[in-house]
Amino acid sequence: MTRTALIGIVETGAGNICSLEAAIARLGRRSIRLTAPSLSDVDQLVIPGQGRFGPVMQQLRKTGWENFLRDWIRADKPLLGICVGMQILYERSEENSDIKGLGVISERIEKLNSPKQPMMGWADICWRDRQADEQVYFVNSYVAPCTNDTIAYCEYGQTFSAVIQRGNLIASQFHPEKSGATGMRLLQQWLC
Amino acid sequence: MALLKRIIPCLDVRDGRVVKGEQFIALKDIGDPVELAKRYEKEGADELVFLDISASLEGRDTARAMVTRVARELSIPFTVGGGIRSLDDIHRLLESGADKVSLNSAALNQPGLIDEAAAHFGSQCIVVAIDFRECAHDGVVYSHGGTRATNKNILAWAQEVAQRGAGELLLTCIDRDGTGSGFEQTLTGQLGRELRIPVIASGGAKTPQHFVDVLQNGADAALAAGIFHRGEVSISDVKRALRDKQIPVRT
Repeated sequence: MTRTALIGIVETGAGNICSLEAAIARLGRRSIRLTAPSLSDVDQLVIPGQGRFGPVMQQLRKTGWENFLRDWIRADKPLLGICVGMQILYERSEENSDIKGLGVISERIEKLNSPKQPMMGWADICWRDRQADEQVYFVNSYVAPCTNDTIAYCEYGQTFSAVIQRGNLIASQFHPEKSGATGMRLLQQWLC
Repeated sequence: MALLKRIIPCLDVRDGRVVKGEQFIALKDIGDPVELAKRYEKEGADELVFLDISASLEGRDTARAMVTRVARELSIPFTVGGGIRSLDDIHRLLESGADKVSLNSAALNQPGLIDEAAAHFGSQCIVVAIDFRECAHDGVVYSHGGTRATNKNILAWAQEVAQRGAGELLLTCIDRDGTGSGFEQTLTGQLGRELRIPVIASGGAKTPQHFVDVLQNGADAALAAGIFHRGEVSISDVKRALRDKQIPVRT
């Protein structure tokens, strides 16, 4: 019998993560909040999408997550980053330019040049490898540029990465846990 | 490319049950908030607004418990408003699972709360609700459920709340609420076009064409309650009408 996957939610100390926990539970997975990197039987880590680049990074540094996450990603273990949880994978961000990110992806997060700010609402995303567009829910003022890792992109004022993938590392700029049936389907696909 | 225009059913909640007031009076119990919320999500609502109109503290606690239940079941965003007076109130609702909170009288009484809330929790979760009366032709903002005129001009106040860090504006034309005469167009359209934050039109919707009109005119989202609760118009009717006019909506 296969056991139910255990998803570790990295506590970044910013905002509520109950929507994410609820979505994971609705998909039949177990989740656990992790303030520090100590668990061995976690199948996948999720960095939730609440908070700002700088404070989140500082919290990860303080709690010992920073190096742990780098090693985790280097070992190609499953990780899902959402919104700011995607952005901290990058080198730096214009949001807090004096604070270094994880630097897994050597690009810079930039301020979104959009008609309205923050970008808040539903938008179409385009997958690079399929025709079908999908509609998902975004809440952000900063974005990642499109690179080789980009597997879906979005356009609002400028084109930016909606989803990136590198091995078992997946990250989305939008909030799958808030994106209705489409979001639930993507989460189902992305979770172990 | 623009964001998709949003259709937002609003649920007035008193003591944990959904009610709908016509022009904010005469309340009628119409159901369990979680059941209704799930139904609307299924029907294609882009997000939901819950307005807590409980008069008592007990009623507010019940509402908070409701927010937790809604957050557990819903996979679209939702806003909670009504009686929020402090950073603590906001913190508790966001902790319970609300994506955004809507400030109304408190923003008028202590505008600094908008700045503090935006700094603490981020602009994206702070909605400011502005009520106005069209018939009065006074261009002023009303408070206390639309009963009291303030000394604030709508356009100036809208600019101010945006500047203070509100992430969204919920604009309700009080004297159209429940009348079915359509959304107010002039002010709503102007603010939707001019402000750098999204504007939600509210009050007076009866037909899909009403949504077409106000969304074409500059509003980013449109909110209605009674017509959806009573099943007079479905969300898919509204979206079909919008799509027919090439207004981008979520399918």
